[in-house]
Amino acid sequence: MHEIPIDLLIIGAGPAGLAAAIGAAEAGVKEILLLDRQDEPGGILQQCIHNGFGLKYFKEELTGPEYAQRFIDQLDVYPQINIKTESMVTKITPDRKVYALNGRSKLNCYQAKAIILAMGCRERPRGAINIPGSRPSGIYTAGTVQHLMNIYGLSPGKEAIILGSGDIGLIMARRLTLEGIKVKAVLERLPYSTGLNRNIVQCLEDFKIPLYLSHTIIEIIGKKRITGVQIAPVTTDLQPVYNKAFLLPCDTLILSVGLIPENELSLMAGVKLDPNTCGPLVNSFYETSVPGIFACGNVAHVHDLVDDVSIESKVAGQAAAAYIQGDKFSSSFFKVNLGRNIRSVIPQYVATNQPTTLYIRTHFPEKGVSLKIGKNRIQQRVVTPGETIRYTLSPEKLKEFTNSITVSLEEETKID
Amino acid sequence: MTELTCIICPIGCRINVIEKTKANSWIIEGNNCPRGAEYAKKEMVTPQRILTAVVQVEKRPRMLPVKSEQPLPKEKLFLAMQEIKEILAKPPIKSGEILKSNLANTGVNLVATKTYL
Ligand SMILES: Cc1cc2nc3c(=O)[nH]c(=O)nc-3n(C[C@H](O)[C@H](O)[C@H](O)COP(=O)(O)OP(=O)(O)OC[C@H]3O[C@@H](n4cnc5c(N)ncnc54)[C@H](O)[C@@H]3O)c2cc1C
Ligand code: SF4
Repeated sequence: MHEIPIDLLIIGAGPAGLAAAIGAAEAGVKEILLLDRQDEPGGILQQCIHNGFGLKYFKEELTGPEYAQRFIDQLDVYPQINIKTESMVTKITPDRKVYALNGRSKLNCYQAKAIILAMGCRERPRGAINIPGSRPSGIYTAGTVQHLMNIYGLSPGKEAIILGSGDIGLIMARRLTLEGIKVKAVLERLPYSTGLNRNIVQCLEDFKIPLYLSHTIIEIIGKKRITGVQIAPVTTDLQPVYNKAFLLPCDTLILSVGLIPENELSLMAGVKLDPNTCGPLVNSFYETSVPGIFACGNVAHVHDLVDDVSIESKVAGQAAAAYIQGDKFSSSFFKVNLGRNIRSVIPQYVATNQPTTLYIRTHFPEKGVSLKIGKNRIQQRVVTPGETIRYTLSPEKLKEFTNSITVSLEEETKID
Repeated sequence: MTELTCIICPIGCRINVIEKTKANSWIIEGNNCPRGAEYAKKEMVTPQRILTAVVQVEKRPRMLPVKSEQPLPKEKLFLAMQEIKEILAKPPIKSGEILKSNLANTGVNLVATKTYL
């Protein structure tokens, strides 16, 4: 098969791929190709029509499509960046060959000097959460409903129940309500919502939508179409209390039970994954365990702010440029260790001489704790698993470490 | 005392608003920045929200995303939605273009948030 040579190939033209392309172009890469299976660039942002994007990056509040357009517009400045839409990447090899189905049927093979993985994440389907009961129609993931309503103007039903209180679930609760669909309840298995407080206020409280914390669905009812769900409270160890179950009728069930990075392609290329982030292990340059293959955005770890995606993806783009140009970047790294109440940290390897922002997630919510990184302690008002903690290690701060960096949350009284 | 959660940025500060005896004057605590105080005052008088939605586009299968250029009083959101459902946009449309002025009689414009050629 004829191989098309290319300097940098980026898989996915969402906010991560777009920012990475711009970062690489600014750093002097001559030929950049973005491949995306959708028919337009922008990724998942094109269906996120609500506002609240870009406060950090652009210092103003934009909707998803507006945020995406800011980056798409910048591409005009860089003729070295090309985008091929309706191109589905099906295989990557460790020696950086990329196979893609372009358009309907044409299979192309690219030989890239460097690859950036920017495939984003996907939603956990119902199978992944195992609710017993029948399998009628009327059950959707929140992202699917967002796509149907916001791109095609279709309505999923008349009376909905949402399982999961993450941000996408909350945002869809408001969207459905404004379209005249009755949202009867949002259910959350945990004793706290995993979404942002601002979304609880403006998406649920504004419309008096009840939020049932520590509740889950124990049975789905309905033959052809869903007609209701059996709901039960759960104990502190998340076991349903069956004798307290009650029925809520509905014709639509929306699952918003989390996102997982989309890494089938990464595995084919031999990229090692981190079981805590479900994304590739990366260093300060967002380089994976395979030299010349980089990863950024939601494929690396699930972000709660697209602004962070853009910032880190530019770094990945610049690093890919350095790789292509043959510059050796730092070869010594500190491994990041997870301490008390830390679920994941990205990047997992910090270059000894490179300022690096750590994105930290916790296991459980707490108050009155300090983030401890080496000698540095930073008071946290509240930490929750739904909100990323950010901490930047400057070259100055990096000097105190010798072979690894441990990140932990410590109760304030225990700190010496 | 009223407890509010600031929705201006993702930090979501919890703000306490203590009423003074004088009308429309409060002691505001807990906000990390001045925008929070601003929000709390508005929230005490007329809560306002940006509205986002989609409108139909003539002879196209895809919807056009739109937003209110300024926040609308909360109680006008449903009325505004009714008006938005009546709109049939005619391409070409540029992002930022006004699709309807004086939404729900508030004086606020409805604008496109995407370009549709
Ligand atoms: C359903 C959903 C709703 C969200 N809502 C919000 C929100 O309200 N607010 C917020 O701040 N964040 C939200 N996010 C997260 C936010 O959108 C992300 O932070 C951001 O979009 C991540 O950017 P990305 O480029 O990494 O991924 P994406 O935007 O997902 O882009 C990935 C791109 O890769 C393409 N792709 C994947 N695999 C292939 C392949 N094999 N071949 C070719 N192309 C491929 C996809 O088509 C897509 O265009 C949401 C995420 C999801 C999944
Ligand atoms: S008070 Fe300021 S910092 Fe706090 S949530 Fe509001 S805007 Fe954000």
